[in-house]
Amino acid sequence: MMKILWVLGLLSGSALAAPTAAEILSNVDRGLNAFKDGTFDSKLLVHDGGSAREYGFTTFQKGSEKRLVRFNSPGDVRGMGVLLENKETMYVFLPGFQRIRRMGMHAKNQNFMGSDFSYDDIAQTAFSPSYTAELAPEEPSSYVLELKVKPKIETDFPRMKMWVDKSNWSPTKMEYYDASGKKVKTQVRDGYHQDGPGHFQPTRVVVTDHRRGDHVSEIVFTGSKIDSGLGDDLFTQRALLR
Amino acid sequence: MPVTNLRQAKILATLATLLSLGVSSARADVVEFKFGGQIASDIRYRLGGEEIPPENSSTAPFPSQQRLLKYGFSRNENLIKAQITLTVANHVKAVADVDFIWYGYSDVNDIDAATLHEKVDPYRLEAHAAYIDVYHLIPKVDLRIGRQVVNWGTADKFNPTNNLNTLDLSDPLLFGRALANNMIRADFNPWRDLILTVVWVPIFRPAQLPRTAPLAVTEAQRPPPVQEDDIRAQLGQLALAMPPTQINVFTQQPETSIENSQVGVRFGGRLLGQDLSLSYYHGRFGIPVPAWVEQGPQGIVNVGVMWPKEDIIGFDWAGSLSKLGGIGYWVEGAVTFPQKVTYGIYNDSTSGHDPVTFTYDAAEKTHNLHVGFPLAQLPTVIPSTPFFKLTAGLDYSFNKYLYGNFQYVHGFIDEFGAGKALYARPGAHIGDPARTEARIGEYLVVGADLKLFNDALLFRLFGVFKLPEVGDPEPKFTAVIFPQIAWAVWDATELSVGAFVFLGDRDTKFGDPASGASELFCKAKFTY
Repeated sequence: MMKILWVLGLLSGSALAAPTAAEILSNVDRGLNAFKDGTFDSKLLVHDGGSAREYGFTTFQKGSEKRLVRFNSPGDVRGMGVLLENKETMYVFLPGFQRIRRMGMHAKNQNFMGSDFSYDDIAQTAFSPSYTAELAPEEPSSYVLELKVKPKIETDFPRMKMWVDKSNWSPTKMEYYDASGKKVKTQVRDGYHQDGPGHFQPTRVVVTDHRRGDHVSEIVFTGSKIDSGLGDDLFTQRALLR
Repeated sequence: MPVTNLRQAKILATLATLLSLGVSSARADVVEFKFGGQIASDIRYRLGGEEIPPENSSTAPFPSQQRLLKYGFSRNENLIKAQITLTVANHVKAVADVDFIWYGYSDVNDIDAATLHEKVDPYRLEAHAAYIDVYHLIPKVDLRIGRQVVNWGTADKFNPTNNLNTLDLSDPLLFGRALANNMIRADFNPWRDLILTVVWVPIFRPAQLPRTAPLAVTEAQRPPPVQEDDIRAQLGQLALAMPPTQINVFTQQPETSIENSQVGVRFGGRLLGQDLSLSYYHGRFGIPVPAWVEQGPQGIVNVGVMWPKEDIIGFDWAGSLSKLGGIGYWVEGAVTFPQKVTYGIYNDSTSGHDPVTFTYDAAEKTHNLHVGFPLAQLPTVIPSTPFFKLTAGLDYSFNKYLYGNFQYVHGFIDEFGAGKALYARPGAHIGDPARTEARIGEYLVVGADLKLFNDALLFRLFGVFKLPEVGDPEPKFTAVIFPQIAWAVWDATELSVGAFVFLGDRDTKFGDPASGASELFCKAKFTY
C-alpha cells in the first residue's frame, strides 16, 4: 500500500496536476520516513580552517522518533551513545563512567559534537507537524516552499525555505531564519540514491552556520540499511549500556 | 590397543578435529574485536597543606621520592590504557580495560635499589573492567559477570544511592570515580525501560583513600573520635597525661565470608515522562572509621579502623521541564541504617590489656571512667541512628556555548553517620576541645562550562561551597574551587591546565589537611 501511495506521489509530482504546498511537504515527510527501521553509517566532519575534525558514528532509527546514535571514532568518544526515545526523552551513555544520564531537552540547544548541526537537526525527520507551507516560485527541477512555524511550537527557526527535488520529493536545500528574519543556517543535501522502497538517502549533508562566519560542517553517509528488522529493545537504556 | 579400537579412536579423533574446526570457524566469523586506549601524562604541583608522611616518619609505604611536600610536585604520572572488546554477534561481549601507570618517582633508598628497574622507575596496574556480558541469557535478561562498575542514581557525581562500588578518592580531579570490583549483575527488562537490576558483590573492596587521609587518625592533637562530649574531654585529658610518641594505624578488614558479601536491588522505569527508581543496598561504607585504640608503653598508640556495615534504601527521580526551556532536573535521596560503631579503648601502658569503659551517672549527667571493667559502656563513634542524604539539582544549556549546573547536596560523599564531625582547631594541642559540626553537611555545587571554537576550547569553573549550619555560633567559610582550561588540539588529543583549590581553616571540611591540599595541574592525553 505504501508503495502504491509512493508511486502515486511520484506521479503527482511529475505528471499530474501541480501539488499544493501542503502536499509537497507531506510527500517530503513521507519520503524521509519511508522505512520501518534504518541503520546509517556516517562521518561527521567539522571544518576548521583548512583542516577538519572527524567523528564516525552509526545511527539506528525506528519509526520517526526512536534513534540511537553510537560513536565509533575517534577514541575519546568511542562507545558513547545518545538515545532519543521521543522528543522529550534523551539519554547519553558515557563509557568512561559506565553511566547513563537523562539529559534535559535543553541539550538540544547545544551543537552536535561541536558541529554546526544541532540535536534538532539530527532528530528532525518530519516537518509537517511543526510547520505550515506556502509555495514560492518554483525552479526547473525543484519546488520551493516557505515554511512557517505553527503556533505553540518552540523552535529557534520560526521560518524556513526548502527546495524539494521534483523527481523524488527529497529536500535538497534548506535555509533557516531566526525570529528577526535573518538567515542563520543553510543546509544542502546531495548525492541522493534510492536504498529502499520509496526511500532516498543523501550521500552528503552540508550545513553552513552564517552566525559563525559561514562555518561549515558536513555529514557523509557511508552506508545505509533499510528495514532490517531492528527490535524495539535496541532503543532502551539497557541496550545503551551494552 | 586392539586394531579395531585404534581405528575407532582415529575416526573419533578426526571427527572431533573436524567438528572443532567447524565450530571455531563458525564462531570466528562473528567475533568482532575492538582495541583502544589512551596515552596520558599528568603533572601536578602542590601548594601548601601538610607534609606526607611527616618528616620524622621512618617508614613510607610508597616510593620514597613520592613524599608530599608542602610545596612540591605531587604527581608525575604517565599512563598507558588498553581497552579490548570482543563481541560475539549480539549475544556475548567481553571487555577488558587496564591502566598501566608509571609513578614518575624513584624509590632508591640504598645502592642495591638503584640497580633495580622497579625501584628506579616504579609502576602500578589498575584494572577498570574485566567482565563478560551475556545478553538474552533467558528472554529479557542480561548478565554481566566480572570486574565492573555499577553506577546508580541520577544526580551528578553526588549520588546517595550509588554504593555498590566504593570510590577512588585518591585523586580529587576524579571527583570520586567508582572503583571496579568483581560482581555479578543481572538486568531484567520486562517492558520498555522498566528494569529490575540485581547485583551481588562477593568480596568488599575498600575505597582508595587520598594520600592525606592518614592524617585524620595519626595527628595527636585531633580530638578522640567519640560522640559523647564529656567522654571525649576525659580521653583528651588522658592523652595529655600520656602524650603519644607514635601512632600506628591498623585495619580490620571484613572476612571473605558470605555474610560479608554485598547485594543491591534497583527497580527503575519511567512514569509520565519522568525517570523514577527505588533501590536497596546491603554492604559496607567504603571509608574506614576508628573502632579501637591501645595505649601502649612509651607513648606508642595503636589505632584500629574498620569499615562499618550499612543498609540503604534510596530513590531517584529525573526529567526535563519542557515549559522551562527543557531544563534538566534530578532528585536523589537515601536513608542509611548504619552499623553502630563503638570505640574500644585498652590501656596497655602497664602490664595488662585493660579495657577502659564508662558508666553513665544520670544524676550528674556525665560518664564515669573505669579501667578493667569490661561490661560498662563503650563510647560511640557512629551511632545506629539512621541518617538521610539528598542531592537535588538542575542543569541548563543557555546556548551552544554556555552550560550551567547547580546542585544542593545534603551529605558529602565521605560523610557517614548521624552526630557530629570533630575538628582540631588551628594551633590546637592535645586535649583541647574540638570544633564540632553536623556530620552530614549542607553544600552548594555550582558549575559552568564555556565551550568555544566548535567545542575545541573548554573553560570550566566548578565550586563546592559548604553552607553554614543553622545556629552555629562560629560559622566558617570553606569551599573547593576547580578552574580548568581544556583544549582539544586535534582529534582525540586534549591538553588541559587548571587548579584544585581547597579553601578554609584547618578546622573546616575542606581546610582540614586530611582532605588534601591545593594543586596546579597540567595534563595531556591522546585517546586511540
